[in-house]
Amino acid sequence: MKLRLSSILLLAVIAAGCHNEPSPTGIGLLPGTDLVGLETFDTQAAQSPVRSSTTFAPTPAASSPYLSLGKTAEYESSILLRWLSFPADIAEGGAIVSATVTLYRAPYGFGDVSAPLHFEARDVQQSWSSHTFTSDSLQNLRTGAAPVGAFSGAAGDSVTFTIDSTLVRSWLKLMSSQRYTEIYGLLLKAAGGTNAVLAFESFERLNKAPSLVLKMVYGGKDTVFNAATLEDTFIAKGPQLPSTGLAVHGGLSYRGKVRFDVSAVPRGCIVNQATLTLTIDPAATRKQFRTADSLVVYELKDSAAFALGDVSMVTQKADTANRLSAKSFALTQIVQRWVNHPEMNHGLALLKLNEASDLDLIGLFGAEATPERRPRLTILYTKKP
Amino acid sequence: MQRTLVLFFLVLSTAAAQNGESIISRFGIGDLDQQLTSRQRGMGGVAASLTSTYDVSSTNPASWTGVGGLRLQGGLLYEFESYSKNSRLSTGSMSIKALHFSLPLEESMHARLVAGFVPVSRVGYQVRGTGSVNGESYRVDYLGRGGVSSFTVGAAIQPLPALSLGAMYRFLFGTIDREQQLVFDNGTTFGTKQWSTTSHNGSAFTVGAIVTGPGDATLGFTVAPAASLAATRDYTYRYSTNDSTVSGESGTQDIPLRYSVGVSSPLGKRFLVAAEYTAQDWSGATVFNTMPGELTASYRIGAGVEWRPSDDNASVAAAAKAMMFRLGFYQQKGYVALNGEEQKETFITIGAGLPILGMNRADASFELGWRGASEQILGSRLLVRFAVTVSVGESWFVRKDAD
Repeated sequence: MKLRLSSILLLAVIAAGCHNEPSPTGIGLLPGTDLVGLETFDTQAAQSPVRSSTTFAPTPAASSPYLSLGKTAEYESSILLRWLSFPADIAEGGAIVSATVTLYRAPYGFGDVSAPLHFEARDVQQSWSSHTFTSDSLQNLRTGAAPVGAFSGAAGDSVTFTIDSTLVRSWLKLMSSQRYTEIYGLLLKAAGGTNAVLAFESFERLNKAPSLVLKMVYGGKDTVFNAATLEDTFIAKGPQLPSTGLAVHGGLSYRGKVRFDVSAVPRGCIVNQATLTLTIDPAATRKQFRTADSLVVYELKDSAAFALGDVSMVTQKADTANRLSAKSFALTQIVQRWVNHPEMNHGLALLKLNEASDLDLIGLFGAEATPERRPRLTILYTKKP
Repeated sequence: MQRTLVLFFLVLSTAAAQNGESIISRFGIGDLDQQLTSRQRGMGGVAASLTSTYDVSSTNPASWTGVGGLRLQGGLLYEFESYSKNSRLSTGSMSIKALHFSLPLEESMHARLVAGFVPVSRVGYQVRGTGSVNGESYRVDYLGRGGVSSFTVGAAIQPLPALSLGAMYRFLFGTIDREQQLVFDNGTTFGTKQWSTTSHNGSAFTVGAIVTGPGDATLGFTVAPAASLAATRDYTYRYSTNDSTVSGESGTQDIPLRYSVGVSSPLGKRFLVAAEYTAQDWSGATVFNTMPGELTASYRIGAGVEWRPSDDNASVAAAAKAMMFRLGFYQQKGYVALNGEEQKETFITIGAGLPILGMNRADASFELGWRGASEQILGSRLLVRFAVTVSVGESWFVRKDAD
């Protein structure tokens, strides 16, 4: 009984001590030094220094869902393919009737896309990896002197061409002796008369990946074998880097760099929100692929090495058609690091959305543009008490 | 029963949440604790001249010479405040009101040793403001909590039959936190959370005297000389990057001189009347290296009467067993004047004391008061206070006849 009474009294006391909700009573009595002050820093309004530039960043296209092939006045794109898996027991026997490669069209392209496509296939004579091979690697790539296949004609929904069966036989023998790494595959390169760049589906598209079909007479029977385990990539060259403004180009790639001076924000202040605004230059923009007018923004950890941070954000359409903005918790964190540690401010990197695959060019106004077009950073922060 | 009482009280003291809400506690070192026992509260806040066989005073150490036996005493206060200008706002809080341990050292001069824990001040406010920036609405909460407390140790002695003297050393310590929390309504903009923690520590003293005159009338004095506490303040900021910065500053916190003068006199065998004046001038006090303009001189003036239905005072045991009833009033002016508006309080008090078991006693008091005026920025406020003090004792130095 005593314990029960004590427990009830104790609970009553605890309930009596529960917290009240804050109320506005007395808000006007707080000293000014207590009051939270929000400030906005706008690089445009403050005419704060901005620096911008464009960098060529050769980008492997291992993850690209498309392989671009063709040539125009400003662009050239080639494809590398190899198959690493064939039926093991056909290496020495049977007779190869034909070896055909089929590429399936993707709904993108530019130039004179309705004109005939001309390209040659050459055997590659050195090792390559889709994860590391970039456009500046192409000039040193060893290939056979003569083509092992070719195509000329309308592209249609797919493009099919035959390749030298002797080459294929050599691949079968390498695979049979488990020398897979010595199967170097094919380089497909645009030939004269082509005035377009077309996109084809890549290995990432699975059911429409480039195929190699062997028709053989094996064991006295007509047999068809399909090669598997494809590795593919494409390598593109494009226009020169712009001398002014900012350019972000997928597939090549060009990346933008922009750096803001945020020293006007007192060190140690809490950054509540940061907004990046960029203005597109329509005259310097080419919409050729999916062309989502979006960029991917990264923090630069090292400006010289163009080392990207771990977290990125995607820009959104802003108030006008030609404005892009990024406003996210990740950007808030980036700017907070700059405010607290100015030595960490190496700026932001701008990458094309779908950089690995889309040969799109987004031109942006850079630091040399008029103030209302310049890259702009707006920071909302809390003054320290 | 004794163990249950002590255990219950200790559990209550840990469960007591020192929350509650008074924007006035933002200033100085917070709401100053009156440092009164329930008996003293019931008698209009009179303390300096009161003596007791069981009630261990936090105010005048000289009164300890009257405390009989070994005693452990503690108190709790529940306070309720209602604002007239905001009919929805009323606040309640519970807090510990002193823990004391009294040890008799020697009986010929009634020497006593007392140690204890006494709150000095309390900060507790939660205020909310709203605003918008760049079209984004937000609310910002300003929170304050903490306070200053003291560990005390002192002694009292009665060198002459009509004179009691006492001295008390106080080690003051405590932290006061002030926090700002800003939350945006959109839920996506990173909010602000920053706070300061001010730690205080320092030493202070209180001396007191009680002179007994004709007819057992007493005149009591206490003086607590001015003290200066060392203070350090750290600021913490919560960033979106999950780190925080803490930077420190140092300063001082003044505790001005405080004095009390009181008189009490028995009326017949059953009544005791008393009156007292207490003052402390904060107007020149430094609060962390600044002299805030809001601090001013404070005072309290009060009077009360105690009625004991039984007149059997033949022994300590008999006195401890007697029931007592009390009535009083007091007026006090706080040490904070906001926007030049003085904070005056007027209280009517009642109280009762009753024996529990053996040497144990409980005193309870109820205070009804009014603070401020309707034309002031906070309007007038109604205050209700309910306090309980429990004193648990055992006899020492009881001479037993030799066989």
